Amino acid sequence: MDLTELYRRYAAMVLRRVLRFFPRDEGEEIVHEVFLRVVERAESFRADASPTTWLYRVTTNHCLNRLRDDARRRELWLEHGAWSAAPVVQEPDQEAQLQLRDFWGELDDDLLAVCVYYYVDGMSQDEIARVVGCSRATVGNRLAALRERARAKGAASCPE
Amino acid sequence: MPGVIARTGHLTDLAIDRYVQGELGDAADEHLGGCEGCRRRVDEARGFDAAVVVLPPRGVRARWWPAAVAGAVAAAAAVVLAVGTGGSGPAGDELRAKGGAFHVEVHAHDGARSRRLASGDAVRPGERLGFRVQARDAGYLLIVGHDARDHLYVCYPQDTRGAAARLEPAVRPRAVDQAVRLDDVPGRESIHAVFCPRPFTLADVAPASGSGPPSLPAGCTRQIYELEKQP
Repeated sequence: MDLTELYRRYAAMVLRRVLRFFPRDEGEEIVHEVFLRVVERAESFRADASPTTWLYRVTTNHCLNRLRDDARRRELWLEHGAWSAAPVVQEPDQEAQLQLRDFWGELDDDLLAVCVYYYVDGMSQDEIARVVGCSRATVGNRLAALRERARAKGAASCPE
Repeated sequence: MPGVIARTGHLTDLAIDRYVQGELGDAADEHLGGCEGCRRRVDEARGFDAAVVVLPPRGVRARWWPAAVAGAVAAAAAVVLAVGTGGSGPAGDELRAKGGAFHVEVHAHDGARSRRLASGDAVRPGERLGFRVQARDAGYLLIVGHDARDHLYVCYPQDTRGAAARLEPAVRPRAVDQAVRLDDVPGRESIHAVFCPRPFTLADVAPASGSGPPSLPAGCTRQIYELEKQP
């Protein structure tokens, strides 16, 4: 992989993705961090893969790592997730989605990434599977686990 | 194409990125043909990518910047130049009128948003101008600016000592990895994109009289944007 060419061609695109998570004044610094990560993980890039998809995943993961702080995760949800998926999900999803924000900050990295791709980006399960590099069934299982967790948390919070 | 349409019924952000990078091609064209919103998202993404150059880290952080990346970023940053203001020239989209042999888009980015420019548009000091280019046939491209002080300066390519860049035929516009930054002197500014079938240099478009707008070498075509820089 030609890193110089990669940077020339994709740095602005990476910045656009970063700005989905962070304000403009932090964007440039985070792009630098993403490309440091790219250097570290260059061997994981397959020559026949889509560089755009690979960088999208690396950037998303890096941004989520930076968002470990619960308050920032909640901010992300309120800014993007709460409205971006709400009009299109089915009723059970809407219920789960409303409850998801209650434990958004508690999710581990794998679940959080799927959550962001599904609720923030509005991706289909097929596309999430391609980006994450796992089967569609695995994505479905993770989403089911998210919903179950949301329902359980919702039920637990209701008075008996 | 399955997987590129979000549950909202529109292209996902990733699909937009892949389309802009030429990875999806016709797969997204069907949706874009009937969706003005997604076409606007594509235009905005292209405009942003054309106008933005991510600068290298400064200060302490720069020490941790690997040499391989430093070289790449320095190459990109070196092409962000402060350019003059003012100037005038013939108006309009001359090239398209001649049959679309090549086409150049000019985009401006103000640090937060980007927009595609047309002749007569206003720009502001500090904004970066980026370019998207497309040629039907192979040739050579030089984009120059002409300012109020009657100076010619090179917008693209900036690292060839005035020699025009080779442009390969393409079915879609692509962003060039260089941009110019506008200085704070208000006035008119004209951008001339000159396309020739053979190699040429800045000296070939410099006016013989030593003053005035760029000239057009025989057998070449050009596209001109006249901009107005407002304080």
